[in-house]
Amino acid sequence: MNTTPTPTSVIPDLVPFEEDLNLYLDGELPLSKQAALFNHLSQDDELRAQMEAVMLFRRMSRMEFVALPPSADDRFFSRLTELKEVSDKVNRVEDRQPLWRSNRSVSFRSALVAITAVFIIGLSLPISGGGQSTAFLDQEEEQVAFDSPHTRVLQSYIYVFEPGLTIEADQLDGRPTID
Amino acid sequence: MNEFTLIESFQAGDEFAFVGIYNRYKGPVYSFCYKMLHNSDAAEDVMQETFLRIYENRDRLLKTSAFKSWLFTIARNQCLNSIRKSGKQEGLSDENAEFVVTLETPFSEMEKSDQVQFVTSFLESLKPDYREILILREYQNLSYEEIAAITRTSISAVKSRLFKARKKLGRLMESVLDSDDLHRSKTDDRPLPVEVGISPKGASYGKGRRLN
Repeated sequence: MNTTPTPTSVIPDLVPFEEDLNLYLDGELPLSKQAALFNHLSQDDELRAQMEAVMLFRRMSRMEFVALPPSADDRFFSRLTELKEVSDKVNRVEDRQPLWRSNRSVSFRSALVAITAVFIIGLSLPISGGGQSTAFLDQEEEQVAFDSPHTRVLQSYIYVFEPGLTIEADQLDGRPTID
Repeated sequence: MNEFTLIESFQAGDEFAFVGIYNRYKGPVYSFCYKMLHNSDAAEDVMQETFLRIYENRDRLLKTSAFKSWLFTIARNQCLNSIRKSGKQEGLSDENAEFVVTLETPFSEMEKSDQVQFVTSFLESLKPDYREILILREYQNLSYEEIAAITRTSISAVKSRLFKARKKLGRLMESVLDSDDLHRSKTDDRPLPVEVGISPKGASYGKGRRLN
């Protein structure tokens, strides 16, 4: 044999010229390398048989016509219609809006379940005034006389209410002056 | 209408453009699915599912030029899921490929349609990895780049798998070519060796034996 294997083979487990043959079959082998390949093929029966097998397979595959059944279109478009109906019901943009802004119908059953759940939760909550009370706060009432010499008492009172806490104080006619 | 315009119109919400795309690609996608699954019902189902996904996820396609790769990626993933579910993942191993059966009618004397079916049935005996790459290259005529995009691999990996698939195919088909030569020369009366795992129409088989 007087052929020289091409040094460009980057795929392992391939005999010399096998990669070139595959590239040739795919129309990717440069013209400059084709002469060497043909020269090698004339001497390598195994590689030539592989080429013939691929060519035969290709010829047969091009001859074969796989036809889609005519009824397939009808089935596809009915599936597409179903899909559109479902996606019309589920509006993703609307889904992203806050719940109180969405305008959706609620079934009677869902409403009944929600009402029952709220009722049961309500029953399990403590009754207001019966259990804990704020009476203990009254006992801790403390009166503080604010008799600073820098302040003047005006006519009316101001009441500040906090939960469970009441503060009574005289309103001042300005900020206290500090000497 | 030009293909890219059609795809852009579809993305913009044109329903007629989608029908145009479906009509243009339903054949190749069905053919790919049929070759992968070897079952017309399953192939039709996968083909429909592929186009429904295309319709649903139209906003996910960023490049119009990548539409074909995207379409076949979805079809390929659906086919692999179907194969996984049906448990038909294993192809004919090298060891099993050594089993042969006898072919009474020489390949060249078979009807054309039987020849086609006979040769393409070799695909079924290949593993899905090799099968898909051969189908994409030989039947769909896709480039290395497109196949790499569909199978989510590199171009060198595509080349490697394609070459190995062809090698396996060549080994399987060698016996057909040999048997034909044997019949033509009429030098031997022994049964002709053909690989097992194929069931073409018009070919009858004897009991399998292992080649030495």
